[in-house]
Amino acid sequence: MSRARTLLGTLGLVAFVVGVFTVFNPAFAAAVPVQGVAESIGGPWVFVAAFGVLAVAVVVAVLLARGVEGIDESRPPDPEDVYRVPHPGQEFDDFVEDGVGVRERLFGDRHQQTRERVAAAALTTLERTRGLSRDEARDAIARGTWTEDAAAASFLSSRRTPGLSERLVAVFRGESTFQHGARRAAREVSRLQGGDR
Amino acid sequence: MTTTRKTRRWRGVIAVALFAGAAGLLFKRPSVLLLSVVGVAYAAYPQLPTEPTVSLDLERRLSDEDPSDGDEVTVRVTVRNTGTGILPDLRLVDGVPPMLSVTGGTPRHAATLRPGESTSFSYTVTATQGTHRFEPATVIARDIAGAAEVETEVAAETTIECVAEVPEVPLRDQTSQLVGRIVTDQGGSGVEFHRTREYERGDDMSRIDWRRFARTGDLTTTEYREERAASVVLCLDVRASAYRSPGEGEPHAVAHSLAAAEQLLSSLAETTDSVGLASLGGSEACWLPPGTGRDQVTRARKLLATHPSLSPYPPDEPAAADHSSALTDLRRRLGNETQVVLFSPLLDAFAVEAAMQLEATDHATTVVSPDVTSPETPGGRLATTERANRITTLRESGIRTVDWDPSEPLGTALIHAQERWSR
Amino acid sequence: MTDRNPLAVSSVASVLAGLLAIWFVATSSLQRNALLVAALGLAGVGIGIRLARYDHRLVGAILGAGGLGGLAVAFSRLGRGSLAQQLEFYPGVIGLLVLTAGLAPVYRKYERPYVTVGTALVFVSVVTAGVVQSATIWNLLAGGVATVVAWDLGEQAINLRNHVGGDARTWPVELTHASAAAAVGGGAMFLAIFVENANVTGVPLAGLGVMLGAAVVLTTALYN
Repeated sequence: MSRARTLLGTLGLVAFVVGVFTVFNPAFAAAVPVQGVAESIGGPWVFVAAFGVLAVAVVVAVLLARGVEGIDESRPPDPEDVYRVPHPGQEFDDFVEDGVGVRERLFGDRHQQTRERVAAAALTTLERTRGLSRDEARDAIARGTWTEDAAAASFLSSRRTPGLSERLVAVFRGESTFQHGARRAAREVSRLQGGDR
Repeated sequence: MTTTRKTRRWRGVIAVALFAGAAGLLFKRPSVLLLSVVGVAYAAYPQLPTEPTVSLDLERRLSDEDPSDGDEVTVRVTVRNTGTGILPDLRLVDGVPPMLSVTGGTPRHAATLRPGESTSFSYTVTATQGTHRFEPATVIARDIAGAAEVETEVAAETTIECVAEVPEVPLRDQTSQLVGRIVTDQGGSGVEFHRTREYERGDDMSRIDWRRFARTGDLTTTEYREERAASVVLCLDVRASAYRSPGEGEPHAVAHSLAAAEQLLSSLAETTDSVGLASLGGSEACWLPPGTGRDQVTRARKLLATHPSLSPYPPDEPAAADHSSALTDLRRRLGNETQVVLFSPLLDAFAVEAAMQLEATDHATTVVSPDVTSPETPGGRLATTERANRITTLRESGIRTVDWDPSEPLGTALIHAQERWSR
Repeated sequence: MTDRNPLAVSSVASVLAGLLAIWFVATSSLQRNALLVAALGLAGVGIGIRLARYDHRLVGAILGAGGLGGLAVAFSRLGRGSLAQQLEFYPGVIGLLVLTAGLAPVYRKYERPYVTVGTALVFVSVVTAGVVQSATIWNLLAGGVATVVAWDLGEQAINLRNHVGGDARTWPVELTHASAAAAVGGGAMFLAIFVENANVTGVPLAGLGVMLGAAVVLTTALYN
């Protein structure tokens, strides 16, 4: 307890005891000069009522203050589960599944990076599974002939743009054409790879 | 690290006294005014200076210090108050090793401890491959009113070792001059038959094939394959990108790599192969030059358990940190005839580059890659494809790669890999 | 932590302490009978919500609805009573409902505020009983102490759960805290009674004034 607190506490306690004492010993009451003060502000009842109102106001203020600042307690660690780390491909999922804000869309290059990543995987997979040369594979990707899936093809191809049906499907699913295309492309590439294990 | 705080949970209880006082005064009821005395008493209660001093002794007893993979281990924790004051409100959260999960009971407990008194509780964990070290238990002590709180830690060195033996370590043909287990293609005086050649003057008499001489009259010398010892460095990929797991509740690739390295260490220790340890990535590079003997193995085990880079927690490095200088340092440290076994989940291009650089600079490299991909999400499928492509790239470059599914023992994966390599 | 709800033992004890507080100050048989019905209703609501938390939604909903029905019955019984009896009863029982909802819990985010508001309403009932002079001084003071103990138990149910969870063995600590809070209250009661035992004829203005001043000073000193 700080010094100020102790001082105030003692003062308050003393005053309290004096007050209680006056209740039981009216003669003592005469010694305390409260009467004059009370007269000057319009009678004892006003005095009391004012305090009552003040007290209620303080009660409300205190409860609100409690709500605002809250309790300070420690937060122990959670040892029951295995320490969590992301899964491989989490960044891709976060970007593709959760969508992206306006600022990222306008100023960021995550879109391009994601496309490049999928394209690189598609390139290598095509070379390995279909035995194409690098140029043939690149050509197949640019023309969109590497897969039957239209959304996947248009995601990686600069020549093929997403058609109306792909856009509608994307809207139906509540995601952007980019997200839809990225997901489909990832699925198609892994399907290509799947045959060769 | 100890933190003391005031919980402020009794904040505003003086409002009780004020409310009663106000009502008592407004309605002129002395009895209600006396109710405010109760309020004042409760307002003073949390101000009592009774902050607890925490002095505890923690002991853990394991039902099995050496379990097999999948076994349940019961941990019994006993805490004793070694201080002079009573601890009216003691809360404990035990430091379960990060790669283990609690499968029965709870590692949390609360008790009131008088000086000298102790309390116990138990819980069960399921063991997985590797060495698991318990962390310090978190202790939160409050005073009788709950107004002051002391948060601290109490530790007890406890370890669960779950290490299986690997039947045979797949070492390649690069060897150093010590005699050991590797069978080379150089003919010499080892144990396995290699070929017969014409006798040359000076050849050892004990190696002359006398039976043939008796039969045909030709003097021939038998040559055996030379056995030479290998110098191996177990190199662990502990960059931030290697800390990935297939899903919740599963250990990450670095945990699997550490467990695998421990297993290989045990097997190599039984031969005269000299073994060393290195890390790729991490805040501080780990390096133990290859050596032989029990002391070397002990040193290596200690590093695997305690080195800050070989930790179950990922390092704080930025996502695009550059490790090429670390790789150059590693290459410099490796001697001329040292093989490398690289443990890496192969989740990015740098891992492949590292393996290829090491192989190109005359360090025969074998890659042991725990598969932590999971094809459940689009990103997961992409990562699986990329990893498969990387494995193919490594194999096409002549680097032996073990694609290890951690759900099966490493020994099994190595045996299958050996079969494939000897075809 | 698998059990993420406020600790069962302390929660039940908290609501019981609140019921006891009202029991002390609501002395007529009409009120006490209604209180018993209300207690059953609260049990239904509390257990119902807790069962719903443990994924027994249907059973929980039925119990909860039944509980609310019981409370409605209790309230309607009080309709026959006098204004004073109603004023003593309603805030308190509503407060107990809020307290139960906080500890069941209905909303995880509002557990603590519900506990605080609920016990505050119970205290309003206690003070009202003092104002309408329907309870003896002992009962009044006991009611006040029981209310604060109810709050302490309720908040311990929450903060202990935050640290240690519902699966650990926590009742010794809960008991320690509750006993200490009750002891402090008991001591304060005896102090107050001791003061009261001298004859109280009225509160002279001087005493009033001094005590008001004392209250303000004490408030500042004792603000936590």
